[in-house]
Amino acid sequence: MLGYFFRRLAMLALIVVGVAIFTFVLSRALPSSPIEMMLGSKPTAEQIAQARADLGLDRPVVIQLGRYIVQVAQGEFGTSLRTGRPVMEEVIQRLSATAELVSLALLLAVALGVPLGILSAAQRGRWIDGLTRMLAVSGVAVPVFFLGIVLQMIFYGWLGWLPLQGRIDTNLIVDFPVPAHTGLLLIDSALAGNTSALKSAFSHLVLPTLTLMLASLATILRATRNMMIEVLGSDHIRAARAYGASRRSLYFKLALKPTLVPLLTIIGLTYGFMLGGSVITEVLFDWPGIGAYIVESVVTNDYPAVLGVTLVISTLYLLINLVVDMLYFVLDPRIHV
Amino acid sequence: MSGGLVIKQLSLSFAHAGGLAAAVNACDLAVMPNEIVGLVGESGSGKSLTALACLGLTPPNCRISGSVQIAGTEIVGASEATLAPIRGRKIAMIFQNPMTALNPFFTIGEQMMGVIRRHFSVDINTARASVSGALAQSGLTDIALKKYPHQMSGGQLQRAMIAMAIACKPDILIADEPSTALDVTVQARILNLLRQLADQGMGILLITHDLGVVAQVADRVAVMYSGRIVETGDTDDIFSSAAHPYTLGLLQSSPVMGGGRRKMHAISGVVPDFRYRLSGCAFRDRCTHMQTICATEQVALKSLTPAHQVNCHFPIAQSSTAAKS
Repeated sequence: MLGYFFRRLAMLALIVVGVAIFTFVLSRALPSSPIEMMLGSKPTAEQIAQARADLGLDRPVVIQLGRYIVQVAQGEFGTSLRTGRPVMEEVIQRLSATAELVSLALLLAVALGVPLGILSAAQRGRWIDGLTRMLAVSGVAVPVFFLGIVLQMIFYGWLGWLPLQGRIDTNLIVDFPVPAHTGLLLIDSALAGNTSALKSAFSHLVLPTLTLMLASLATILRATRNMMIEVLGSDHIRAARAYGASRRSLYFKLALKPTLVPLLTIIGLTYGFMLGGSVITEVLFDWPGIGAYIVESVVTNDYPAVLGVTLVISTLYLLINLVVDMLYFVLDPRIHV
Repeated sequence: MSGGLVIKQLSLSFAHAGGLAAAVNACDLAVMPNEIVGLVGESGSGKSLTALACLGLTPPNCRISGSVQIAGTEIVGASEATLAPIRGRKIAMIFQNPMTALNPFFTIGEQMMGVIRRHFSVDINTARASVSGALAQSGLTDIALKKYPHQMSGGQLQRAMIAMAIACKPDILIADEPSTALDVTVQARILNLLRQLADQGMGILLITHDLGVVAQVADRVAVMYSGRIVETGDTDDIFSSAAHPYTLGLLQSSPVMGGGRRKMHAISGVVPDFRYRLSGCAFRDRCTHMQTICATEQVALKSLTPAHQVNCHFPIAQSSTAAKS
């Protein structure tokens, strides 16, 4: 198993290098260049030449690539052309905001989706199954931006219970700054014992979390239900019933484990996707996350930022997949290397 | 009638486009303590479905009528709450395919402990002792406890399945083709084990299509054809003087040791599709003795001797059977 793990890790490193090369070449192949953005509307020819030399853009692409790879290997992702801050610092900051949102949303989706899926499988064809089916279909069908706006209208506009957008009350954070340990505001403010910051962070999280959760809840619920039904139809479940297994031990033990294993892949893939793909929710709630950062960087041709984000996100995606595959070893006794 | 399994007028049918199709028809069968009853028939004759009905595990779309009693408790129509304490404790079943009937995600030990602790409120050590005992009885050691199903051979799995079935010392054991997948030496051991269990007081319903197996261990035999019991009697009676043409056909279809290299006898035709049940006797199209009355009238079981009953208008005369065999 350890050997397998290291083989997978080596493979992962290779893929990351491939991703780095691919994104680098793509960024250089783009017709527009970041120079225009940096130098304003009417730069002189000397200014352009100067900027190109500064950025190393006058060298052959292969040399540029080589320098880039060496830099990345040293953990140096360059500075953002747009903000002038180190890319790595920005990515980590933005990513932790997204991670807080996405992890919470996924956790909720699993915590609700799996039991509801089991319930629907157990009550197959009854009204409760129909109800969760409706929930799942609407969860997939309703566009995220629409759901977000409706939630904002209800809870901010009409009821006034929750803030419209942002990650925390800005006045509050100026008066009582929360030291960043983990980058997750909920945890950081709890560590600092700052209850008002904790409350504010929490109330800001509710709406974007709900918005983001619904689609993955639908996927996880339906996947759990369908896999559970398949497992319930298998010979060993009938045999377990023949030996007097109670409904509880069927649904929460004997049929659950065979259901969970394939479900893990779905959860892992969803998590990886949500980390990079929650742009709409982030923009809608003005959440300072990585998805919004990607969009801003791409639109402004901020290629060090684009390259850095792409590398980090794809590495994370691969790591999550690796974790899922390693969990298979723990959960499925049939897999051994 | 307390200890045994008593099936009376059991009918199982499925709704389909053309109406209601009977898979099992007015079946009467009893298994008493200390005896092994062989239930013989071709694939699709309704044997396994009858067994499932005894556990209250018929598929949800199956309509059931008649009565199945285990130690006086009615199974047909009983609630899950009534059935759960009976299943595995009063009546247990050895399933046909041990490869799929054991849960691949739990060790044999975990699965067996689950069964024991479901039915007896005992501490772990006592439960472990009974699990070890059951494993030893079926010829496995405690090494099997820690194994997952995929780590064992077919024969070992079959024995683990048997150990699981006998772990709670049920009154009635249904063994559905318990030795079909096994090689002959293991098969013999398992049949010996069944005999031993019956001698200790268990009632066993042995479902098989292998007449050799039946001849070795069964006390009584019931022959099933197309959802009906067509002949029942003591094993000796059936083998020496089969009265139903179908039983005779089955007997003649078995290979004979030392019989030489000749063409095997086969009953012509196939088991009719149970959705298009023939009027009268279901076997008539394949029967060599068929007459007009066979197409119009269904017979009930007729007693030839008190223990030997047959479902046929023209049972084969005892002398002619003797002459043929």
